[in-house]
Amino acid sequence: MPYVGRAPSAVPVTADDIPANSIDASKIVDGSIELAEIADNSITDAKLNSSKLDGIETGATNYTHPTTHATADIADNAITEAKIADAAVVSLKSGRKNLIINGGFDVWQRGTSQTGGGYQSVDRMKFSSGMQSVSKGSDLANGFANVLEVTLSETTGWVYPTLYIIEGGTMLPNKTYTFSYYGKASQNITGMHGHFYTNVGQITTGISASFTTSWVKYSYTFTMPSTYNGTFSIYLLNHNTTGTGGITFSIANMQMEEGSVATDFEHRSYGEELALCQRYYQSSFKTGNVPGVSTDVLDAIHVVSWGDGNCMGFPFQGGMRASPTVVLRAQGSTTVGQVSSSGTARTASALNTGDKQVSFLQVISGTANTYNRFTWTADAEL
Amino acid sequence: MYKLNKFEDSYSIQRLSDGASIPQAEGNRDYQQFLQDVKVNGLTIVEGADVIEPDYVALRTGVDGYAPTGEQLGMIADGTQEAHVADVKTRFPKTIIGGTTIADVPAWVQTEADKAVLQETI
Repeated sequence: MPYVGRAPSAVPVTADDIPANSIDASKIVDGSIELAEIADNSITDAKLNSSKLDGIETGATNYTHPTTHATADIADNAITEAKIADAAVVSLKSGRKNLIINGGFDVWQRGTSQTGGGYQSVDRMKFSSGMQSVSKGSDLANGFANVLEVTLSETTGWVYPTLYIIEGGTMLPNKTYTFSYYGKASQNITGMHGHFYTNVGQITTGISASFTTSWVKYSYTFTMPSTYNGTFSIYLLNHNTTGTGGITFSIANMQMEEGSVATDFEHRSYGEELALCQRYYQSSFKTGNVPGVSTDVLDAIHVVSWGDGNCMGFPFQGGMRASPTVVLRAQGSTTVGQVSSSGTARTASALNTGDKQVSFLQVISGTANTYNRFTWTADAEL
Repeated sequence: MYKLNKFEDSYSIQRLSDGASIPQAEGNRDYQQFLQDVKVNGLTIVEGADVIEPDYVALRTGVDGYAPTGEQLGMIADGTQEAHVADVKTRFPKTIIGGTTIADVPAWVQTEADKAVLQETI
């Protein structure tokens, strides 16, 4: 005969009155069972869901670590440095990570604009075919200290207007590097390329970019060939022009760093950046004055001539990459190849030029034992 | 076009387009360009160094010429000053009018240019 319930009684219900397996989970109110009411060892491992075990001793039988933890589940300071793999640290690099000098375009020793090719304005950047003008930009978004603007004449055909060369020995074979920069243009441009060239040829083909009218960060990761040994050239803004003319490209925060991630741009002080640039170019000109344009008396140095009319040279500010090409101008003059010898402009040239100094100046028909005043530039660019 | 300048055994190369003094240094890109230009165009684009020959005035007043004034006063007292002056005039006669000549381009220019590797420039 089936169970039909206890006969009415004034005696309270006991466990003996409840048949086995007659109460299922739906009959138990949440929170109604106190921990103290659960007998020791009454819940077996088989009854536990591993995802519910956060905080339980990890040595427990049948315990499995959850695949992930929410950030909120990790206590403050709970993860020590020893628990972080070196390879996992991709965004916490130490200083001097940017292998590009003047990548923020802070230093413009030769002038703040140029219309011809070569090195004529922003330090360490070389410009060439298809280039119409270079200038300092004014759209300092994203915390940019400076922006490089390049306007291309945009006749038809491919142009390779912008080149940066990293000196040999800076980068190493078999290492992974990431190059990054911000770019935009005065109109949408598709199909642009950047090229990396080394002594063993082009590293990566088709490093493409499609500029829009808004700033976008572009990055490219590559591994240096095992046979790499020499300079490393970065060509930017290469594209097949359409003849539409006058498109202005803007670039900011150019960075080359070891590793596979483009981290935040490394800002260096102006003084640091200038000193790095002076390995490749320096001058006697006052900061802000443009060689070949300025006639400021503060640009020149004064030295004394010897009995033969020649005069002593001058030291450079730190060693240069190589013995530089030197251009002399008489004080207050923009004419090249001269010094002011006792007030008269005389033809002069630098002789015995090393990477740390010009030993002396040969002054044609120079006056003996008098002052010589002149400006100088020294160029040891790659 | 280039012009060589020489001091003792060392040379500087003057680029006539902008008056720049280019050192004879392997790592200098303008020197490499000079060698490439010579390789392509030949030695006709290079002018040798000036050789300045002093005139008799410069020679007589130079280190091998007249003795200093103090010494000559002593010679007057000794009676040898006239002979000293005559000797200097004999060694440096007025026929020495001096002038500037241009030396041949030294052989190293062609030798180094022959070694230069033509490089692409952007």
